[in-house]
Amino acid sequence: MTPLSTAVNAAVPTAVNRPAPAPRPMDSTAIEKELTALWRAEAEANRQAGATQPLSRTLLHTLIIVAPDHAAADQARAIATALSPRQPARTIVLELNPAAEATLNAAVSLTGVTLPGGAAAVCGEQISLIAGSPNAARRLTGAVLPLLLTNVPSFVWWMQGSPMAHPLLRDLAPVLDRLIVDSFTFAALDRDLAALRRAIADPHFLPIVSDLAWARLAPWRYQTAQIFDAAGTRPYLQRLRQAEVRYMAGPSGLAGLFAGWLAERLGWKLAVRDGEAMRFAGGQVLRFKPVRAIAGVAAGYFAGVTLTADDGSEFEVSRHGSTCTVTHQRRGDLQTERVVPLRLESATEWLGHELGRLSPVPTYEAALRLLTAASAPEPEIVG
Amino acid sequence: MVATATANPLREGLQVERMPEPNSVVIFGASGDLTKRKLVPALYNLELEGLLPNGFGVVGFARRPIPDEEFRQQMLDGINNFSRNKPAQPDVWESFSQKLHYCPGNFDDPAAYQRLAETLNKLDAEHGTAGNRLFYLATAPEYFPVILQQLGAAGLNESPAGGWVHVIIEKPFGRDLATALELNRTVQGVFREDQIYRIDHYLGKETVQNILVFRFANGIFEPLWNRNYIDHVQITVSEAVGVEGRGGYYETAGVIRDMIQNHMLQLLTLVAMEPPGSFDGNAVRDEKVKVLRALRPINPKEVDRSVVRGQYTAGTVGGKPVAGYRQEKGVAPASTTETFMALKLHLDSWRWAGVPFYLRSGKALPKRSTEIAIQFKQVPLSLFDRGANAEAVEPNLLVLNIQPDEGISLRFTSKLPGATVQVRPVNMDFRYGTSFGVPTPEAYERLILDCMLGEAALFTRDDEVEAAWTFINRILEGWGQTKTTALPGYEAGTWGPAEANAFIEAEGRRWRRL
Repeated sequence: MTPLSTAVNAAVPTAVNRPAPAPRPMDSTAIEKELTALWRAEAEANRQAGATQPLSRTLLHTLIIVAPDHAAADQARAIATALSPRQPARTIVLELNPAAEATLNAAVSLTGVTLPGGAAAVCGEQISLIAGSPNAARRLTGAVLPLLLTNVPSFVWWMQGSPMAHPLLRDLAPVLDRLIVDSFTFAALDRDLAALRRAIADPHFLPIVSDLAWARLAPWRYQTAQIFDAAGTRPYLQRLRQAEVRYMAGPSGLAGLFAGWLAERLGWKLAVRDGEAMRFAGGQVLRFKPVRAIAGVAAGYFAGVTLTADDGSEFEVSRHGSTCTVTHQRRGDLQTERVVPLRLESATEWLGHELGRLSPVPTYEAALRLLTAASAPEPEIVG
Repeated sequence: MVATATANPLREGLQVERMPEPNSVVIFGASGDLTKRKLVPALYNLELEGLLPNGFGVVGFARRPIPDEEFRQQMLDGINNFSRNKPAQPDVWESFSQKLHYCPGNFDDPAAYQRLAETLNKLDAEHGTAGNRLFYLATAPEYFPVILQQLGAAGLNESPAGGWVHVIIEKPFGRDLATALELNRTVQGVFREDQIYRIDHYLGKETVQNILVFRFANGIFEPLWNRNYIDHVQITVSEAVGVEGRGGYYETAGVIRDMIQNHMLQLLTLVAMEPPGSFDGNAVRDEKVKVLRALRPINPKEVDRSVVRGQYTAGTVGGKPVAGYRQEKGVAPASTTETFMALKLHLDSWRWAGVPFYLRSGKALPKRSTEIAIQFKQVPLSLFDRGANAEAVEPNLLVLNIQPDEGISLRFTSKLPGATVQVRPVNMDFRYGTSFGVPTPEAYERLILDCMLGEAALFTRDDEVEAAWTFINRILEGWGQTKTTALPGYEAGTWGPAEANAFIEAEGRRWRRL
């Protein structure tokens, strides 16, 4: 499991989770009643504190987070809390916890922030459903469905591994607007990506699929694209011959997804792929290069890309701690260099990125198609 | 997907699909407060957000000769004190500060503009700014003409590399119709209209832009947004502060030039305009200008029938004593400059015929507030205001709050709990502040970025400025024809002179109590 951070942008007030009573057996009616009572108590506290603004309940969506164990569920709650000021929501954390009691227990709370000036804002509702046995897990769908907010979208974030063969996803899929996976956590990358691609292509699989790995790469795709915004560099897009995609020694999934995006966007037609390189019909070559990990950056994280044109000009985006450097060299002479801040690398940021849009992501789907076409065929996954 | 020479295929699908082309920003008036407090912090925040291009540079232009390093230090102080993201992030500042340069010179000195041109050419070569230029006129308005003329004379109104050149002009844009026309002629003598961006920072505020989203991204309000359902509209921009040492400026402006002609007429256009065909700059502005042209002209001889002026006297605002306007520094002891104004407008259009718009604005009022209140008509037959415990049914009210508590509230009538039918108005509130716990970007960030992108919807076009001044000018004419020795006074900390209340109450309506 990748360590997840709950820190958010410094300009955003830090949200806190209001204390919740211990989990206990509750049905959906009891959960809604308890939430109503919490809102009433919050409104009363707000009034007694002399607040000048009334409380608003503005919930943008229901976010279901499927956590594989108790520790992951704690992380999920912290992430949802941190995200709530920007994207107020009802979050339902499904904790699959074989170590818990055999019953299906629930806990509810509100999350909020204290704004500059002392006003309180309630930004979210959190419901934890803890399934302590396979039998209880089978009841999760029935417990979740009545808790989905009406009129606003429903998302699932599957925190770890591929959900494609999981019965819970099969049951929830018809009511979901979006399934968010994290291919960085996939156990069998090629097989799991292929299953994901099949789901996207399947007209009976309704949710739009998105991937936190895609969000992890967003700043890198952005900086790479920006190099070629200038009229002077734009023509080089057709003259690129080599690409070196670097990643912190470890899993190569992020580097692969970036390579899939780059090649697809540039219109490069894949000819051959081996472990370390992709060769394209136009003679272009894309190499993967693991680099020594640097402190504070996890194995497998993206490290940079160097693009070389037919005249030897190089365009590079490279990680340096919390910033990245964007350089352009023409035949060995440094033309421009710029240091730009990297957005905080945290699941809160990535999840916020993916929750920010409702429509499909054609560029992701195209990158995935290119990437999976380059992989050896895998047996079909039931799902 | 195939790479072409015209589009950047790598940008497709990114959250920010449009990035400004490389450019350099020249700020005239670089030693002023606006540069330090707003403009450079806005550029720094755009850099932090990754919204500036790789090829970018800033040139501060002002009279005082100081080295680049001192200018950078001043700007760093500005960011550390006034930016919404502060203090500056050291490694980002280190890289960003290298793009800040300073060019000293008098605004009327042709040699200074030659030096500026050389500096810009150097930036093109060293920072890859590609000949695209944004000139920001952040000086006192008396310098606008000479700067514009000198820019033209130095050939800086065209890019040397076939790129774009845009010019942002701060308010006030003229002080009456004649001076606005003259300034339009001056600026258009040097720049084409599509190069000119007249800024009104009110339009960069998120909640002001949200007026258009609220009206045109929701289907339920637009059918009601007309004379059939709306009784009247009140627009208020109240300030709790007095002139606070800026008496010299205020004496030349008054509330009519400081607030009404620009900010308030802009709010009026957004609330009253027809749906544009697109969010394209000219489509939006075409509709806005139609509103201004539909303003029924006020007869200068009868200006007092539509307008009330006032001037604050000593009083107390928020528990603190406030001196009277005439006692402020820089204010003439017998000044007749208005610090409060209320006016009634009519729009001669099918949508708004017969619906009065009441505008009021002033200084030293009880609180700071900007809002647009749309009061709907009374129900045609009241079923619930009979009997001994009867309460009058209040008409519905929709309030768009701009500041300080951004949001929207709808007043409707509800039954009180109990066996009898007692009805009361209740408010349904949506508040940005307690709905989203995040700060919104500064208006200047949005507007500068829009100008770099060539998106003009949130800037004022020449015909808008002229239409607004044409309306305002008749009020100024009317005031000019009546010799006034003293305006109706109002004690600081009250809602304007008694005449303002009498003015609206004569029509059976009341100002909203804020």
